[in-house]
Amino acid sequence: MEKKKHISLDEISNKLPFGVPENYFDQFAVQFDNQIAINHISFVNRYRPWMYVAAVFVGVLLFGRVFFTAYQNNQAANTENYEMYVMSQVDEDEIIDYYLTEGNN
Amino acid sequence: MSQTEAELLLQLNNPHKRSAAFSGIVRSYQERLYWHIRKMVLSHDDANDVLQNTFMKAWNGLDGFRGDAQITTWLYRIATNETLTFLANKRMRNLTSIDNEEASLLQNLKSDTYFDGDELQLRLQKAIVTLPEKQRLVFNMKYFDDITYEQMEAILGTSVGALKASYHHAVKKIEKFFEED
Repeated sequence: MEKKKHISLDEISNKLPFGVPENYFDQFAVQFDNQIAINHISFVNRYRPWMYVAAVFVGVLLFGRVFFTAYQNNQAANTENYEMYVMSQVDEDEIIDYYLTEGNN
Repeated sequence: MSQTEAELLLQLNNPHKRSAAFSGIVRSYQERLYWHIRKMVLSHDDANDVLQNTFMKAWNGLDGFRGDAQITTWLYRIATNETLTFLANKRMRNLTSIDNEEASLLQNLKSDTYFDGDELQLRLQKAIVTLPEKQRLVFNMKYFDDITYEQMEAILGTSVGALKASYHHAVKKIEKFFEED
């Protein structure tokens, strides 16, 4: 068959001569939703070790704070106990003598 | 920016609503973008790959999208860049010249089970693949989608005058191809 030489673009339909598989667009959208979900999960997975490190760091800070407060309370109690112990070893007359002697000097 | 676009942009910036909003964008724009890509790469499988890359790029680039351009323009730009990159990579992989690229694209078309055009439409496609890439892009956008030159200017970053000239030359070349074919 001989080809027609003088063809104007107006004679040709501007409808695209292509097709797609059945339900292609519905499936594409669903597949892409899944892909985003996987990406989101992998984002969490990627940063999971750093989340653990951050959690440990916060834990150490909290534990340190509690430990330091307890240590300080203990120190204060020890000092108080020591003073009470020293006072218990000295009898009242000796203290009076001491202050009187100090006053004389 | 329209109210719907503004609302959509707000949702995209909200981490809790982002996935759902983007899912809506995919459903709204997938067909338009698919055909935009398909007209350039011709094969369905290649168009499918490029479309996926396009939406993935858009999804990953959401933080950089501040609504300076319309969502449509932004997506078309990504799709166009992805398509041109795909064609360039394909050329590099096969180390093909422009002539061989035409033959390769035509081969795609002939072997594609999803080509359902008549003889004239096949001749038109043959003529279109002989055009330089950018001219082909302009011709496809104007002839098949009737996209305005102003919209094309925003997408392609080429002035309206240059786009009109490009389309005019494309039409002349296609008519010449019909006479010589």
